[in-house]
Amino acid sequence: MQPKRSVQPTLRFPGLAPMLVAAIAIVILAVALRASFGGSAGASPSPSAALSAAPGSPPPEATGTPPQATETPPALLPLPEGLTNRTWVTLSPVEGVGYVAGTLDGRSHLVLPEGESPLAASDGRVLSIRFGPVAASGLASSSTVIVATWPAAR
Amino acid sequence: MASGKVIVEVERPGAIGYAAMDAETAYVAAEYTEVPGEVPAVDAISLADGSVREVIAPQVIAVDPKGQAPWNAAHGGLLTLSPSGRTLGSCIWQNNLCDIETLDLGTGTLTRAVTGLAGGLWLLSDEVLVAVGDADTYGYDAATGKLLWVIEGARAQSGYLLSDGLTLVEAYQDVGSSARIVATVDIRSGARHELLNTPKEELNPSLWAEASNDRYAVLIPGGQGLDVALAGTGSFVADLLDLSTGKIERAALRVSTR
Repeated sequence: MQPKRSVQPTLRFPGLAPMLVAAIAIVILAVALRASFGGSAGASPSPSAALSAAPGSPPPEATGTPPQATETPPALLPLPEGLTNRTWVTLSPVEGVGYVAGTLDGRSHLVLPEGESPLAASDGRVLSIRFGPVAASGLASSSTVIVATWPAAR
Repeated sequence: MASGKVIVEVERPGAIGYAAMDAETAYVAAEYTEVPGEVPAVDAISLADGSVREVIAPQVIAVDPKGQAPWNAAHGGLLTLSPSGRTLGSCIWQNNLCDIETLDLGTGTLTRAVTGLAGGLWLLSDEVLVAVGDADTYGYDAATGKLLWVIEGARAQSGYLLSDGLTLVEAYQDVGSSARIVATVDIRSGARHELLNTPKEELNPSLWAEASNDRYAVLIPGGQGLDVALAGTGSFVADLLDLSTGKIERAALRVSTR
């Protein structure tokens, strides 16, 4: 099967490395602090999670507005010929929800809970990471790799 | 956990930051280790039974004492698989320069055919490595490291390889004219075929590589990223660019998070 890969040029430009490392440390620290005080953590502590970000850009922050449950879902267009119900991942952090991902025709979607970040997808499956406790170094001491199918009937 | 059915759930040491996946295997690597100059191992996780095996051992590289050791030793921002699933690639940073490392998953052969790049690896087939710099795109022979072609003055913004492993669909900004161009590139020769040229005065569409396929490139009007396009109502309408004809089917696809 054809692997479905991230194809955005998520490149590392050397000049950004110190900033990115600092950003990672800050985010991980923030996650740890929020968890310590019973809060929730929604941002990714991993720069590589920014699959849809511009080259060299820092990881996305959870600044979006959650869709209102009372809104009427938009009408869906028929899926054009040649496009199957392929998997995609949008690394759109939605505040209070987590990351929103879905399939191309919009008929199914996957919401990764807060604290779980997508890193890769291939047809029908998504790989996400849940970080473990933060070590004294400021980095996550462990990670749980989760591969799950999309919820929709296919 | 995600709302779908869990296939595998595996705990690994460190902060996993890179992953690639095909039908049977997920490949993961940590961002970096506590050891200065150490490139983290790459593990393969079987999607059938969750078993883990190391496919690339940790490597310690020489690092300039003035460099940022942990970051220099990272996998350069990505693990990427060739369309065939036979080759895994990453970019090993060493003193702010990239060595492209590829692993033949069939034989276990590890190769660094291209070293000392100022830019970084972007995509790869089993035969060709596609790298980008600030404003250029390069094709290298994966076995010999020979530079095959250069597209100069093209600031890569998004793209993907077709399943044949021969054709790159690339969206880039022409540095001279600021036009946004979508083109196909034969990665063996570098021959380009321009499909769409949007002048800088117009709203540029964004190529949504993850949703595109061998027939259509999915374009998000207005140059928006997915997060912006989905903000608010949680839906947007995308155009389809037919790769064989260059014809655009406007508003052919409505995408919704619900």
